[in-house]
Amino acid sequence: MHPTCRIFLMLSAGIMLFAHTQGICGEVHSPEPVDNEARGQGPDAGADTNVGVWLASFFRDHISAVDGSRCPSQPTCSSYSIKAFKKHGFFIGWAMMADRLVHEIDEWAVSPVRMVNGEPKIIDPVENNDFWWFQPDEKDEK
Amino acid sequence: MAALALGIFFLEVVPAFPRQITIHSEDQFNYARTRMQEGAYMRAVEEFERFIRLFPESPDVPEARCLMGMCYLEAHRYAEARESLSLVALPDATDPLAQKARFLMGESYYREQKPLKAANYFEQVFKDDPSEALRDAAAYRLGWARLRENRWQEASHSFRRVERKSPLYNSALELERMSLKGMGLPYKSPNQAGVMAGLLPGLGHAYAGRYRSAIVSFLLNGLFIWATVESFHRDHDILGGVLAFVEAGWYAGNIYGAVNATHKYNRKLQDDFRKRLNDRFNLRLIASRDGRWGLSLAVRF
Repeated sequence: MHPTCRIFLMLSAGIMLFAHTQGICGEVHSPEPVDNEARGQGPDAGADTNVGVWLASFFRDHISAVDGSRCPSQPTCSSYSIKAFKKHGFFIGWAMMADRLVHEIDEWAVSPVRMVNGEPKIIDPVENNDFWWFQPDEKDEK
Repeated sequence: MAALALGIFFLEVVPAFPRQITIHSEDQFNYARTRMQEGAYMRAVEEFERFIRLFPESPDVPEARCLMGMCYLEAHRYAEARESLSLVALPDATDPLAQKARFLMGESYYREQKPLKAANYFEQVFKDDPSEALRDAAAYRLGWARLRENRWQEASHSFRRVERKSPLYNSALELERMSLKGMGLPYKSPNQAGVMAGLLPGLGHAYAGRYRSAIVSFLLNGLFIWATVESFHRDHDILGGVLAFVEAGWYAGNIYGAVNATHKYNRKLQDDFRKRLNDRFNLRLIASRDGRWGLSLAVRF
């Protein structure tokens, strides 16, 4: 392997490990309520042609499933990502996913924290991160 | 002998017939209101429903629907509250009960954190020229709905419309002045955060006061940009392309996150500001002078 690639992989692994231990991208299998929409069983379940949805679902179902519960947020990052991809499409969903992975480290300062199954969780759904530009209810009400 | 036999017959047979119970509409109505007064709201709803089913022609049916709506409100079942109230607040109805029902529909939206919809109802009640108490309450509640929408000047204007003789006046006067301070809170600019994040990943987060996110964003973007450049530099074009693609996501997320973080910062600022303001309005059931129970507006001190 080329030395640059090796360095890159080592650094990536280091950052991911750091992020994981800090709860930045630690994931899933937290005993959160089943979210049918995020699990692809919602009203738009047939529209899962979005690559982002597929990738996030794959991560959640096959990688996080053996990883244990570390995500400090509710919903977990993979469930959040699936919702973001479904709600806003691939590109915005991707940006929102990247934002979520970065920001949850100090999200507790601005978002509510509640006990979920005996553990404190930051309540940070998609609506908490698109409220400033996407408010369908209020628009409908006008 | 025949009379004796007849007497024995009635003694034996009559008790076997079911006893008939007569329910007066007023008793049923009062019973429901008593349940409501005790705070057993869903039980009260059942009793009001029974009243409406047994006495559909009673003139108290609209009031029963109104009280049902109020019970649902107290039980936080807002959609059901509106369903009940909408049968009283018909579009062309202008009687006092319809105006109260309209106000309560606005209140249901207000409590459901839908201030825009709530404001529409309060404005309509205010324009319908109802009783003074209801008009003042509508102006006061409209002010609060505007506060929740961060429309500070409109909120101040609404509070100003509360009449001097209203028990809400002193509170409205204070809120009229305080709500204008919402414009002068130390907000941060989302646009500025976005530009800063675009110039240097992480800088936008730092501007929003999220330093740990800033470090993570800086490291992630720096690492991926460096690796992408190195890959192209060493003719690993495919790897470079993949890394550039992934980095584009981190970079876009960095800008989105900086703007998002600033909006959240501003939202928290506004929420904290609103929490410092006192809402003196309380809607509850009290007895009126003639002994009847009805909807009344009360001031909480």
